[in-house]
Amino acid sequence: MSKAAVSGTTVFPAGAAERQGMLAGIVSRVGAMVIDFAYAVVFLGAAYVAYAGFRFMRDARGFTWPQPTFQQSLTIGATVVVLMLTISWSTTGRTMGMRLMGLRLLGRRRERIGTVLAFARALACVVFPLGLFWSAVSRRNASVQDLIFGTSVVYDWRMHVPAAAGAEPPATYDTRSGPV
Amino acid sequence: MDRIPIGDEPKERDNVVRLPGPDDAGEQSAGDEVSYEEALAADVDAEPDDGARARAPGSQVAEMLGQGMKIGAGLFAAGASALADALRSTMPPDEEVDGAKDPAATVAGAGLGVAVTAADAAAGAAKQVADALGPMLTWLVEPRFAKEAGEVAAGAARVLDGRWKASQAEMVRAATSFLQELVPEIAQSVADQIDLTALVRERVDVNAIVEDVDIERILDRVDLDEVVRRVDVDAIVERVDLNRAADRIDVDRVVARADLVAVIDRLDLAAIAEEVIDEVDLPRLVRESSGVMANETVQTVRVQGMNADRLVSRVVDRVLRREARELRPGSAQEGP
Repeated sequence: MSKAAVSGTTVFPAGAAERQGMLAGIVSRVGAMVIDFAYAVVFLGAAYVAYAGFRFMRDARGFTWPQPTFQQSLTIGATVVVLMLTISWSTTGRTMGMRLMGLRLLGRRRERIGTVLAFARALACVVFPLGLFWSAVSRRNASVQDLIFGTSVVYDWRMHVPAAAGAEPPATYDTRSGPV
Repeated sequence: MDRIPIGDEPKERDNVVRLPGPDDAGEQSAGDEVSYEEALAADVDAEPDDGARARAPGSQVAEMLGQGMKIGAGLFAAGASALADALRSTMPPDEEVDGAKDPAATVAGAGLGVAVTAADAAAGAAKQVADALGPMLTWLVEPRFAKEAGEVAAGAARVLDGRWKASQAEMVRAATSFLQELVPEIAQSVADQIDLTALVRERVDVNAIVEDVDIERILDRVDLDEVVRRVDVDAIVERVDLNRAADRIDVDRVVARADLVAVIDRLDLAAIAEEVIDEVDLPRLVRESSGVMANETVQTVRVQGMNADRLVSRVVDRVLRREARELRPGSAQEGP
């Protein structure tokens, strides 16, 4: 099964090929989350600069740097992250950080999750990010969000996009059962 | 008389004996043939010198005999002269006295003089038997001869030697001409009979001769450029199995002896490098290599993440005192 996960075009380093499709551990997932967080911070900074520039262009004489409150910043940041995760999970099954770490999010039947599920899971991740650390304890590397939504994160270095929900699941993965 | 035309044959055979006379008589002897009567008549008026004797009647046999004697004497003289020279060369130098008459030469000359006299006697034998029997007897019983016998006996050697000296040059010349005709014939006949190659092979130590040869000097005289120019090098090269020759070359040794630094110094490396860079799409190469590098970095991070995942999982499982977790997605075991 693991061998079947090997793409014809991707060359894996020693020990990586046989672990394709297996459930990813806490370190890789935390790494992906950190990268995603950094990505979001950079994005928010760019948005902040862009918004400041917009304000300067509108009223250069009375320009002051925008000074959002913490509540505002948190809300904007959370919104941006939720949108980013939702779009990423529902389109390719992985965020920028997960892509870098070679991970992919799959649904209960090893399929690409839908937008609603992706949005709900994203919301859950933003609200309770520490839920990810349950994967260190879980016998199936499942985070709290995985347990809630029946998703799983696997090693998948390939560039393919899994079939969406309702479509025939890829033959490379065992579909008999999925994580809780 | 440079040459003696021995063996000249007329077109028609006859009974005329042809012998060469002196130069003044050559035309006659070469042209008209003289019959015995004519020769006899001519002999009456002729002076008794060598040339006249050649034409004397009844003297042809004698002349032949005389000529044979002269040749024999000449041969003997030449041999004796060579022998005397050889003997003198072996003698100590202090025994040679400048200006003094060599007694050995005198005695030898005397012996030769006897030979000449005998030749003359033999040459005139026929005539003397025919015409001079009387006068010879008279000459023998003449009182004057008896008186002078002692003197003759005393000076005989000197006289005979003198006669020899007088005739020596002509005799040697005759003998030389004779030999010039005869020796090539003999040599040819001998050569025909002998297998010189086998003889040389058997008798001659060719190696010793070759060792004495100064090949350097011979080579100095050879124009090798000219020799090489006449050689068809292409034809030779076609016959050479270069692959076999190349197999026998110790390339490592050749390379070890080569001054590679000197070769490199002679190369315009800058120009070559520019040419190579022009040929290679360097920007594309850099792009691809950096892409590979980035890919390798990412793969390294991923593998490190995988290994860390496994490590953490084992640690946690050990702390919780449970079996290693099942990470295959298809496994039936579920739960936190």
